[in-house]
Amino acid sequence: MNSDQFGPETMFCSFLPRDIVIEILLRLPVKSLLRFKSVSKPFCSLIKNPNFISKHIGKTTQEKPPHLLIMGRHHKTLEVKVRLIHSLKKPSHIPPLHFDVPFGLTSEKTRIVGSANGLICLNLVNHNGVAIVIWNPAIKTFKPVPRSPYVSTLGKLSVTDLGFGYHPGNDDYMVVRLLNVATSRRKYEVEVYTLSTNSWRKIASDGRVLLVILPFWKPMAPGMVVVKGVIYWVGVEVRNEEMCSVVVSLEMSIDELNFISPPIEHHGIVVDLREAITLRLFNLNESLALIYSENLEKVDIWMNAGFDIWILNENDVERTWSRRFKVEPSQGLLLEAGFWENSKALVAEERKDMCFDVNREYVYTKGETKLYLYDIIKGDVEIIENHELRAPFQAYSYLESLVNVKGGVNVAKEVDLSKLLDFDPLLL
Amino acid sequence: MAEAASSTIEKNNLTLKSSYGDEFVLEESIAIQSVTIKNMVEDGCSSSVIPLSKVDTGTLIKVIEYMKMHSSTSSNEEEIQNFDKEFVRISIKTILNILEAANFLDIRSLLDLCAEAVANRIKNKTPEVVRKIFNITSDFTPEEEAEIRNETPWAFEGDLDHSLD
Repeated sequence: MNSDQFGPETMFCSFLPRDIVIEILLRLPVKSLLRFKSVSKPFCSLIKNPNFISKHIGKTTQEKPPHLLIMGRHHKTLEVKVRLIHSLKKPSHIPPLHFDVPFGLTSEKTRIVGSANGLICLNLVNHNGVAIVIWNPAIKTFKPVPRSPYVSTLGKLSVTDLGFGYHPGNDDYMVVRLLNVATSRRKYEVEVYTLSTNSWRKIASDGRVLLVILPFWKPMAPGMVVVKGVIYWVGVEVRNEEMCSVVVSLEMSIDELNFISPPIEHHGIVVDLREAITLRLFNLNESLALIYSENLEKVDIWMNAGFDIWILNENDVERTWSRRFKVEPSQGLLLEAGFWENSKALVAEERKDMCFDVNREYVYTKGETKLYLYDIIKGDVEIIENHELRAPFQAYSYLESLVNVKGGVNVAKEVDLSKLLDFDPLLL
Repeated sequence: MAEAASSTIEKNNLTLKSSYGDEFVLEESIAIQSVTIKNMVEDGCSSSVIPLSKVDTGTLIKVIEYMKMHSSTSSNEEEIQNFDKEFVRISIKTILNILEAANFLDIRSLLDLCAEAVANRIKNKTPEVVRKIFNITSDFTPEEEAEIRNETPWAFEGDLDHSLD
């Protein structure tokens, strides 16, 4: 029997050509496809076929707007919860889906590292240390990422940030760890995990003095942004005894960190590290967008004064920026994350009642935070209702997929993480 | 003058013949939305009647209705969207026939519309109903089928649609 990209050319059905049945199945949601695996053996092998799975993602991204995945804390129980907002066209008419989170996400330091092709990378923190999982909520499967075997030669590792992305060229997913070494004048180390090899490797570090910052005073703030297969972070570089914000990038096909100067350099001696953070990065229509402010006030972006959005010019070896949009002032709103469906940002109402956790580190608000989608170009505002979450938030684009993580564990019910995960105590 | 006009009409019209032998005259500019017909016209095979031995009369009428609407310059985007919505409010069986014709005639937008419509109609159905709609006999042993269902039991929960249409 002949074969095509979807496997042996079996007929799925006596009266319809094979191509037509594939066209129909490509348009079905994940849950339906999992159910229709039991229709027949040809259906089952098609739905498991890796080419079918990638084409299904392509169909979804092409024809349906991505959903909005919001992580926050439940306004009453304070547990970390994830909400999936369907089509953002009329969010007020579609109640948010209450996502099944199989992990006991109670630690305030749990973060979404990133989201790609239906896979969500989570950074889980508990008293045993730090662990990373790659999770596909649509097929209820997750994979614990093994602990990195590397022990720093430079000294104790301290602050860390992570990245997660999909590399289309290699058809592979990668997790990146940026590590700082506390005892050696803030040199950095980079480690990359690829899903296909299920292992970690180290990549070259040029000995620059760089602090890659996990905003520890706002643990849920998104650290990295992926644009067209390149992962970007905001780092702080120490040059001439001054701390300056710098954009750090890692092209997933090239094992090398790059440094891009921001459009406006912040000068002056900064005592407090957090004052050195003058940038926030976003993915705006598959371009890297940057917001600069001299006073980001604990990395929150208040919209009271309005701001400019800079876009990194493409195909420019000099890596220059253009000032592309001016966002008009909006009183009492805070830019949480963005952007979806071209230019919609997630904004929250000003946090009036601030609380701190017992260590006085973690800041959260009382009651359900009012959340809106604010179109920075059109100026439209839509409210997101009944999400039951309180600030701070993390938000990502999400589209369900059949992508199966190799060696994944099924998690239909809540799982005991301690049995499955190998927490890394070094990175607590 | 009159001769010129009639030759223009002749040049611009095609005759499509269904599998039942019914003939339909259609402007060439409308018919060439079908890549298959377009190729035939370009290869010069369209001087006579184009036989569509795989397309029955009822299906061909629907396909022509679709092509006429989608080549009309007088309808706006909203009217076309409403037309498309109404167009697929027919039995699944009929949509599948149109889908097959759209595949044979190579009309991409009609194929997309019908594939999306079938997907929407079957997405909440049970595997048993899907087998009936596509005339499939299961080749699983009961044990094999149970095993597959057990991989994702939650995919079989909820309010499933048992109707055939």
